[in-house]
Amino acid sequence: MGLVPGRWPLVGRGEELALIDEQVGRGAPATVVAGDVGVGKSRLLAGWLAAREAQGRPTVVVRATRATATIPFGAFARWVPDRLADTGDRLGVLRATAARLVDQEAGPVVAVDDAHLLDDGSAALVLHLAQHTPTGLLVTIRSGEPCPDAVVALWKERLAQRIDLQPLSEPETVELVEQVLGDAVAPGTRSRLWRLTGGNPLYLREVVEAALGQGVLTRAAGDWRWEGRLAGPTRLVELVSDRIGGCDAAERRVLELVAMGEPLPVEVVLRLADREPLAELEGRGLVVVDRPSPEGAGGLVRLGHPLYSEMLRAELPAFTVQGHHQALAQAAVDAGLHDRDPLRVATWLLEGGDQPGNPELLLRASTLALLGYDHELTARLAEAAERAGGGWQATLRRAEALGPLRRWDEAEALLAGLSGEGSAPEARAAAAQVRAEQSFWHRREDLSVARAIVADAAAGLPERFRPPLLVQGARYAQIALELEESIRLATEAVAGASSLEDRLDGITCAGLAAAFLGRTSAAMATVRLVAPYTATIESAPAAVG
Amino acid sequence: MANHRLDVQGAVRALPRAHAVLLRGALAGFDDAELAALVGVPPESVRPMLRLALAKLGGLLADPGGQSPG
Repeated sequence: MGLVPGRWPLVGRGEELALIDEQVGRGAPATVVAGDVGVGKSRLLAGWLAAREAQGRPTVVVRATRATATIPFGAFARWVPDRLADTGDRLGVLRATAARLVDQEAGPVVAVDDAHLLDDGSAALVLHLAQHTPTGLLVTIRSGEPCPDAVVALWKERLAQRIDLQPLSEPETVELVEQVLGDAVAPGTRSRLWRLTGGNPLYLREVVEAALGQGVLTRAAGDWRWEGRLAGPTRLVELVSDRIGGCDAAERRVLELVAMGEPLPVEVVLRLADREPLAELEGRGLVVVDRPSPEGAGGLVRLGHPLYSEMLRAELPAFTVQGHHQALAQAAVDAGLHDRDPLRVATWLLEGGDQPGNPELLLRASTLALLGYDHELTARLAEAAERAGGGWQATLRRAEALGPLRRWDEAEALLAGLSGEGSAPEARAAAAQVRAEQSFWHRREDLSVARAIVADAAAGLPERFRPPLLVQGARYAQIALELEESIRLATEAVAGASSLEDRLDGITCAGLAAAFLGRTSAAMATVRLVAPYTATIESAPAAVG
Repeated sequence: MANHRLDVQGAVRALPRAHAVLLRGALAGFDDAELAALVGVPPESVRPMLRLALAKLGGLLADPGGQSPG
């Protein structure tokens, strides 16, 4: 039994119900409601029928199933006159059954749920009712499934208005969950539920039930919060498996690759698969292809629903995962994606287990990972870059990542190795900067330790490598409120700077100290000096590489 | 003073994907056949879908409380 028993309320369908009412009210021959699995077609139909029943207006309800699909007039068997049941007179059965529905029971409306499963005879009967009788029809069908020609004719011949039911919007999704759980849902959890389920009520129910069962969704401090990760609940796997169960091996491989790399540029997918399975999957709504934008961005392929990705990835064996990552990385490099998206491509290389041979790519990716505060990934990418020959920059990057991970000893060992006499001056200067930063910001050591590190390093380095260390020392002096000392160090840095960046760093640092001291004119003078370069610095690709 | 600016982009983002795509496509001047291809429905279904999308967008703009920021 579910943790939230019973039928979930009908939420967010006011506009759809009003549209159906309008169609039926004006005597339209038929209305077709189409939608994906779980989007709530049958729930909408039930809601509409309940309101109609409450008004004392009964409706004949027919439910087609896979079982009735094999029996002529199976869905309408209850209304087929006994005298005709075994005669084989299909036209006679059709006319007589239609007459019974219209004259005896139906009143003005017949509702047919899952009409895509109707046998040909029942489908012909539905079309006949729409074309030749005053009975109104309300028909649901599943999108993307084969549908009898007679049912398709309802909207193709303009006998019916077809309403393609969409998932719930974000606020509707939140409203539904809050009604079911009986309390507010935290903002981060709201958007997570919507992203994960795409507003599909069936998936939403399964996700909420699974999250409650696994203790991932809990009530704390007055609202419901999502903490942790779902571990592939069985019902969800079944739901998704039902949807993708009909795929052949080639289509399944495309789905798995997209699940692991989405969104994937079309050109990458087409290096991994033929066009045919991709088109087939798109036609069935299992993948979505965003068209190229007018600005020139290429088309992107993603799965038709976020849950497909979650479930597909949860089911894949480790070696398959590794193989897919290798394939993705190779195709991405061949398509030139590593220039535009180095972090993703380098991560695929890493996960694919290949010995990576492109230290520049790995270093660029590690920079992006560091900027994204993903220190674990930064360390892994930097280590791979070291193995690939990335030099002291790769070692330094790994040390930078290990500090925030509180792996002090490993970081210190790497930095000590870079600080030795045998290292290049650039490496020694950079290592001292990282050591000082980690000492003060991560290890929370006394500021004097960081100041001593940069001062000692600066003293032992040739002139042209000192400015960045002097500026760093000047910043520490500001933190210690030794503002005159800060200005002195920054001025010394500017005097010795050989690069524009070092010079601007020194000027801004000195200007800030001057401002703290109330020397407004001096501070404004530094602003005037730096201002012309601001745009250049902001647009410089210094952060990458 | 309260901020009365309409966050139309935020409201469109809170719609189901097909509704958002349909509205953007309609605003860009696509015809029914093009819109149908964009969202993967028959052309006959575009107008009712557009009507629903507009109704839902109107609801969101009238009561934006449920939208996530950004």
